[in-house]
Amino acid sequence: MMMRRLSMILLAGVVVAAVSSEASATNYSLWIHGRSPSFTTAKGNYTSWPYWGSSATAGGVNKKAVNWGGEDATSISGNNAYITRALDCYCTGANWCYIAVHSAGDLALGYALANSGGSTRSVRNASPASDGTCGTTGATQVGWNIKWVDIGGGAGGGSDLADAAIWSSSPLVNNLKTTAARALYDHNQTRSKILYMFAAAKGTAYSGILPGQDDEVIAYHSSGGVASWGSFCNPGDLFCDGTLTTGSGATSNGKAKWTNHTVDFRDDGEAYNHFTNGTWSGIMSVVRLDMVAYAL
Amino acid sequence: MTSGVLDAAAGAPPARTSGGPTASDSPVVATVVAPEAGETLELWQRRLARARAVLDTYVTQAQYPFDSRPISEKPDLLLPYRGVPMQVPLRGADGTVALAGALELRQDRFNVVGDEGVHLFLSCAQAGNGEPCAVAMAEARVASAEQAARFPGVPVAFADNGLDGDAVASDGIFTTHLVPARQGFTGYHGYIETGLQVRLEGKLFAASFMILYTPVPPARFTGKVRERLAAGSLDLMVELDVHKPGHYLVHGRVDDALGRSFAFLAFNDQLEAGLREVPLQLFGKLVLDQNAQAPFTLRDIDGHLLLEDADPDRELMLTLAGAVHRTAAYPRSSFSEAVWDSEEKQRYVTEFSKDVAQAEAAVARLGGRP
Repeated sequence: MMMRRLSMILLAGVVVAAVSSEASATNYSLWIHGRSPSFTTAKGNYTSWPYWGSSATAGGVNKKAVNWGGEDATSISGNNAYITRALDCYCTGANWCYIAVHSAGDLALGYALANSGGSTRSVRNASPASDGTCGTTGATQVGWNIKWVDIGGGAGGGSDLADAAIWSSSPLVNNLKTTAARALYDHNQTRSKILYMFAAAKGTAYSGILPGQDDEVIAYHSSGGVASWGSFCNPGDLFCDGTLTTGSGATSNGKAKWTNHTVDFRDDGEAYNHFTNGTWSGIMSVVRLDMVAYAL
Repeated sequence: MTSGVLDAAAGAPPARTSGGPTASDSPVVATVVAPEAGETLELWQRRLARARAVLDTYVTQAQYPFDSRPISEKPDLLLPYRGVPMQVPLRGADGTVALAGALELRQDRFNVVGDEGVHLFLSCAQAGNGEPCAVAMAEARVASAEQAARFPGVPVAFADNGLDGDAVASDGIFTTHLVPARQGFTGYHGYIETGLQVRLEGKLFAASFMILYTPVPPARFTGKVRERLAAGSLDLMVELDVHKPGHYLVHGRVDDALGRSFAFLAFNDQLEAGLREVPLQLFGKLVLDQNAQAPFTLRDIDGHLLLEDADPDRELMLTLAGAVHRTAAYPRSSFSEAVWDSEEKQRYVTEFSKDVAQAEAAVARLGGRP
């Protein structure tokens, strides 16, 4: 009887192994865009790249465009289903994801991770319908399979341009106000995934509004993942509250970063602005290089 | 750090077939990663460093469940969120800085429920002629364009008279006590913005505050907390009277007998209507690693109903401020040294370990020392 039970266990193991090899493991690179006031991106379409640039440009293994709209008329929460659909599609079962986000995409992904990152998800088959929903496999799992995240010009801490009414009031712009953005979800709840922050500093036009170093839309307090508002700069700038340190440590004046937010790129040369310009430009050009190098 | 500065200075890393353009939707299936032509030892060493950092971070942090954390991981949530103190530059209408200095804004809460009010504080820090500033105009208004006709803006009075929340008269800090339910916002649900104009040295400067208002809370904390030791951890069962069923998030903070804050506990799940208990788990190993001494005090409990795919996305509960519950005096031996484990954790550790092994193998094949 004992032998028979052991045999059945072994046989079950063989069956599981066979299923596992058939359900081949695939890594994907998801690109989550930011606010897109000039055109609403094709929601649920994973092959549409006008926000970023040429679809032929390398962006990490098996890259997918997570188009969630980005229009001012809809809030982060109102469009968040498009984020969770993409994560369900490509980051469950045997499949794993690397994720690159830009600007308000930081809020969109962080919101999903904090609110739903520990929920039970249906494992899906990476074959999307037109609305971005993929077929189910019948299995479930807790959370999504995410290796790490690259964030360029992250708006997790909001944009002072929203506070200053440079943009007209709208549901998305309301979310982007600094106090509201920081209240939107627990930014520290990444479920131990590392968020690599890429902070750019070529901003000039709104330097009177954006505190410290900025990329023309986002100041270092946000793009550097600092857990409090303030003016943070590159080393040697005496007119700021403190220096944005690289890595996950506090700023030079002791302001902590959100947990698991680590500054991977600080724009000491003030060479990069915020804008992709449909040509993979600005700070996302640096993120793209990182994805190509590390998202395998 | 993996030195993005160096990445950018060095130009694009060598292109990989597996990371290249995806003209078709046929995915590149992950297999054992072998170094390809043009890939350098230095690049694979950096990949290995990242893979190890990802694994080490996960293993270190996943000793505890993700809803029972050291409070040091929550630098902005030591207390329920109350907004961020800000300094707004003194800029003119064209956005350029018109005067040296700043408007300093502070608020004592961000989330406002029912009959609650919020104190908004304004002061001026200028390097000019020292002339005191004055609030020329202030108005509270809903941030929703669709609701603006139903809830028109109302004037708000800021004063520096030592009354109604203004701590000290004539100290240069102007205060208003905004109570949405008494100032025309009864029935409104969403953001309320208080915009103001400040006169300084003959010029006007603008700034604004933001709060989130819920007129009727979807549930309330009854104040009852039951505790139970289970599997070497302490479950603090917080009672709620739920009026609206749905997806609730609840957060609580824990201090030890010496008054040291050491734990941040969370609940994130569905609740049915009626009297319900929400388990906030104080994980055993967390207690031991933090060298926390019982009795513990559960304090500052906040919560909200998450309205998924909606705007606003939540209905707030009234926060239980301050100490809520003091536990029994448990000895250290009550708590387990065991690390947290789960299918999710095993899945992650397995995958991240595989990534490290692949990178180590690649480094070795290229003649490096993993």
